[in-house]
Amino acid sequence: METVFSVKDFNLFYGEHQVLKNINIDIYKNKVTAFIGPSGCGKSSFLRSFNKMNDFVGTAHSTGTIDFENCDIKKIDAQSLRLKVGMVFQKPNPFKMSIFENVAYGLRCKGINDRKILEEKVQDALQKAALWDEVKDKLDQPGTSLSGGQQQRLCIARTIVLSPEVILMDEPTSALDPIATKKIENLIEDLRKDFTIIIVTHSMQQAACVSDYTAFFLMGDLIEYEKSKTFFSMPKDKRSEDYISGRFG
Amino acid sequence: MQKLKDKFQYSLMIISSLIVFSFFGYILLFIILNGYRHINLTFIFSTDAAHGILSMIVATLIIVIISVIVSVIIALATAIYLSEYAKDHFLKTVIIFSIDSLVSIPSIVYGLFGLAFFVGTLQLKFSILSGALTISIMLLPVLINTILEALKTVGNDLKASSYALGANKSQTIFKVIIPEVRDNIFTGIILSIAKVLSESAPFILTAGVVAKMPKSIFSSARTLTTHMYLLISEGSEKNAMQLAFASGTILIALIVLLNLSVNYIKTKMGGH
Repeated sequence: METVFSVKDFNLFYGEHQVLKNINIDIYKNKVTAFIGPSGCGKSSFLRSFNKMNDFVGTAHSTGTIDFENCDIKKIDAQSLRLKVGMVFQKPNPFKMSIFENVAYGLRCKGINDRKILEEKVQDALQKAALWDEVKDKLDQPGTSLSGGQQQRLCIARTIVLSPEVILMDEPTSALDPIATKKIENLIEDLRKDFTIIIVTHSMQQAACVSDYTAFFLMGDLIEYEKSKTFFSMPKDKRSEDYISGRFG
Repeated sequence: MQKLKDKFQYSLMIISSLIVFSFFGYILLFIILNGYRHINLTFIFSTDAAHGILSMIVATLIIVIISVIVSVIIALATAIYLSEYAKDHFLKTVIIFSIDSLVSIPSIVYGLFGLAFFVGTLQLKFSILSGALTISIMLLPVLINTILEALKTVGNDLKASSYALGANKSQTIFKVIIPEVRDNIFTGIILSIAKVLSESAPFILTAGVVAKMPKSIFSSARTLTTHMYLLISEGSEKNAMQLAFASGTILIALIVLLNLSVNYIKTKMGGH
């Protein structure tokens, strides 16, 4: 199986506080990997390490290596890394521009302004994000006019228009209602064909249902990393079992 | 008992609102009723100061346009620097303290400064430009604070989303952050226009009092409020009081017109 990210002896600190302790993990290509664990276990911070979003936290520093396609991400410039490793955030947050421009944003920032290319790519991305049919007649309306679930799919479209290798999702459904959540989960099913997905989630049901692999974090330690089927049916570690059965967290 | 209390509070609020509204309505009516008789086409369109106020309207509008453009650009740049770039906490505190202090300086002092600096040192003489630049400084603190408060409400996730799409800092600022605060910038512009229209003291000291149609921004000119003040204080006209009220009526119409046009531009720009 091809590895996209290979993490070795990774430690992350915010100032004095150690958030992640000695993490070793391989993320596989075209698979969905779920990061689960109680609040404050470091799973979101870990996710943000993959596209260097922790650079914005002034006190953050790390040791160890994260290799992206066999190249240490410390050697890759943040902007080009983020074009290959996209991210979808917790709350849907479209920019204050039209639906079309929201999706075209990343391309325009790259310097692509040819109307024809933009139209083609925007349509393709919206189709992949299962939003095209709902918005094709109102592409010039503001992105904020959509419903919460549509907005989140717009944010996904905005990310996949750049054809990244990996999409990082930080609790992408926690602000959505059950129906919108189901739609995003179905979308993740479809997206795994083209992308590698890493998803942080609080919902164990979601992890079990959408992911191929599950990593369980607890207070900065990676406790268990296993195929999701195995992990949820017979966890090896006592703490994983306790967490799955709802005894803490 | 509770019901009675509710009713009392409710009527108190209604009465207060009515008092505020009746002051506003009374002042408005008083000015218009005293002024409207003198308003005719000659009064508005004659460039001869003895009969008409067109030169003052033009001077006032040019000052509004220049000062709003100058102050919005400086205020936006300052607010963005303070909220997105400034890391030195001491420097930031000093700048914010200076901005807050600028608010409480009386306008006549700004006028004196403009007289010494723009009129004198920069040799701009008594001119529309001197007046506009002086009032621009006065507008800065309110504009900066309005924009700064708005910038604080722009979510970190929104900025992060932009960076996560491979955007750099200036792309994020110009395409994502500024559009988020666009409405607040327009609110600031409306407040600024009102302030420019209502000031007179700084203009007497910097733009001068020449009641002629300005030839360029380097000409000395009289604003509407200056005109009203001079009419009454000089008393050279027989019906100075009525003329002042007529000018006031035009000024109010100008305020309403400018606010409407700013609102129009705002909705036009937000129309996509």
